Amino acid sequence: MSEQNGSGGSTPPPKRQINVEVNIAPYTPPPPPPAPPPEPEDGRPNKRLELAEAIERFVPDGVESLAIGGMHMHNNPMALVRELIRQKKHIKRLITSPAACIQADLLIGANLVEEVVTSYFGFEHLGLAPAYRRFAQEGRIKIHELDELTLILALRAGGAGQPFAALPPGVALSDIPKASPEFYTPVQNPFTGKTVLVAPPLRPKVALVVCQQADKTGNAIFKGASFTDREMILAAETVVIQVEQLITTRQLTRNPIPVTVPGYLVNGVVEAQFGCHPTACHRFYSYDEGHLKEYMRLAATDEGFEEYLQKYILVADETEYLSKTTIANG
Amino acid sequence: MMRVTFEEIGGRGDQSYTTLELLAVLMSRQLSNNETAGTGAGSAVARAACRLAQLTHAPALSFVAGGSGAVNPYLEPLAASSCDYTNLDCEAVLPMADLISSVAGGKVDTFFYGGLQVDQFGNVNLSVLGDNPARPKLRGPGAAALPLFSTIKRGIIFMSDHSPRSFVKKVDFRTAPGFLEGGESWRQAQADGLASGNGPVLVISNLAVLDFEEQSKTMRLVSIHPKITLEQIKAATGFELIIPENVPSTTPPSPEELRILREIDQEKLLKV
Repeated sequence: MSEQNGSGGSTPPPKRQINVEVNIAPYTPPPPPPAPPPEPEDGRPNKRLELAEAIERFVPDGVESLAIGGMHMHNNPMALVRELIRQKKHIKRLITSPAACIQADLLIGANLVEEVVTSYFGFEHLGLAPAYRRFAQEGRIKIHELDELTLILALRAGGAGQPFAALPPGVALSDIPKASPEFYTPVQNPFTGKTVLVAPPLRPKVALVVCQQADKTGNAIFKGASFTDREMILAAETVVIQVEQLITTRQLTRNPIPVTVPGYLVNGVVEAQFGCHPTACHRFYSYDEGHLKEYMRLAATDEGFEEYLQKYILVADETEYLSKTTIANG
Repeated sequence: MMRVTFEEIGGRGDQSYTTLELLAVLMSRQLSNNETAGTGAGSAVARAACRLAQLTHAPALSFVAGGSGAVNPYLEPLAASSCDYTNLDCEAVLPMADLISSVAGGKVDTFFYGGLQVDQFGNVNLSVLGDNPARPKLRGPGAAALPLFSTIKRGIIFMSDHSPRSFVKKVDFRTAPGFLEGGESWRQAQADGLASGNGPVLVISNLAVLDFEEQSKTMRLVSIHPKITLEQIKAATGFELIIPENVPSTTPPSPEELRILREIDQEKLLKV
């Protein structure tokens, strides 16, 4: 463009020199973010906890029901999940989002889950969920397979104190109600006299979900899709959120409309940078397809799964985990 | 849906499009202006089909991208995951719960879905293979929104691996209701208020386009893809298809359709 702005003179524009010698320095992970500036003592509760402490305090061993957020390979609270495995927390009933992925597959492979309430369980375009598949085919786990809407309505009923959720009639044409009878009970519709299926409310004892940012009191924001994480937050007795960034209340509430998780619903806030790895954290980073594929290959057998655990999960902490991944090694 | 083998028709080199590109084009041609289409997990091909329709014959089409809740995403470049953050470059975003509620509420006209198995009456299995669901031979991904599909106006089933294992007389497990046990049972379900939509109206596979005969609701051949023979289709189908006297050849993708599709699919996800 700029050539045309000249006076049409006779000197041609100088040729651009392009230096092709590029020194690629080895990638080093960014330094940890500076601690947020101390907020004035304002009497607001401080719910910030270290990762290990949050799991110790809020997830009892043998927890009756645990809901874990994130959908497909996005926004899985992996730092919290890895810590559950390090602390060997057994889970009677695991409740997943409508599309469970590695967050639930890891817990099942680690033999920590008695039964699972789910709708879809896989690695989407990458393939089937390896540990879930093995455990299901070998009869090692009880599965309540629900359609997505029933899972959502049951969580909403739990959050709203309803005795049950009434389901659209067409779902009776599927084999799903027969396969998961606890969640599809026929009753008489008082308005029409016809038969209608109802689902019991889901009230998770604990929910673990990811928000991209939160303040110390647990006001939190989804910077991308919220999937069914808000339904889990509203239904659960205790909520721990894993956040990519802890920020001040004034930073968070500059525009409060997208702050759709109020602190009064949240019990603990854990800051874990890159804590969704190997899944994506919306707006912050995409999923690590190579790592997910490595997991899928290893988790196809009990021995391989153990190898994955030893290599990546049963390490000192999240810093050591990340040091073994592309986050630290490009 | 699960990952399946994507083979090019007739082998590489002498064909100018892949199976997935053909599916995307055929699916896009089914969409019309002023309707709303739904796509689910692992359906990059279905999202590409919707976007292609918008950029060609159906600019007023609306479509939703799976669990991301994105409405009318600008897909270029097409992403592999239905929940990818890049899908949120779009016109509007529905929370997932509202999106699924709107499917059950009859607001989505056409839904694209697939499965491990489809049977002669268009029932689809995405759950388990084998006789005993408690000890399946293969544990598939599971229900997703498929059990709700008797409420959508039109279901369009896409299957990229047409074989006797996937086209079966009766599904091992009915995740998505099709025409149930055939025409009579379907009309009974409609009379009982259980089926408010028109069921699966079309099956698009890597070999052929198929629909369902009006009375019996049994699968029927509509057109045969280029370079595929009737004998191949019969051999790849685990039940007896209704085969009309004259079955036309599927109109192959036009150069214009392929050009626009490839502008959408910059990452070449449909090139495998």
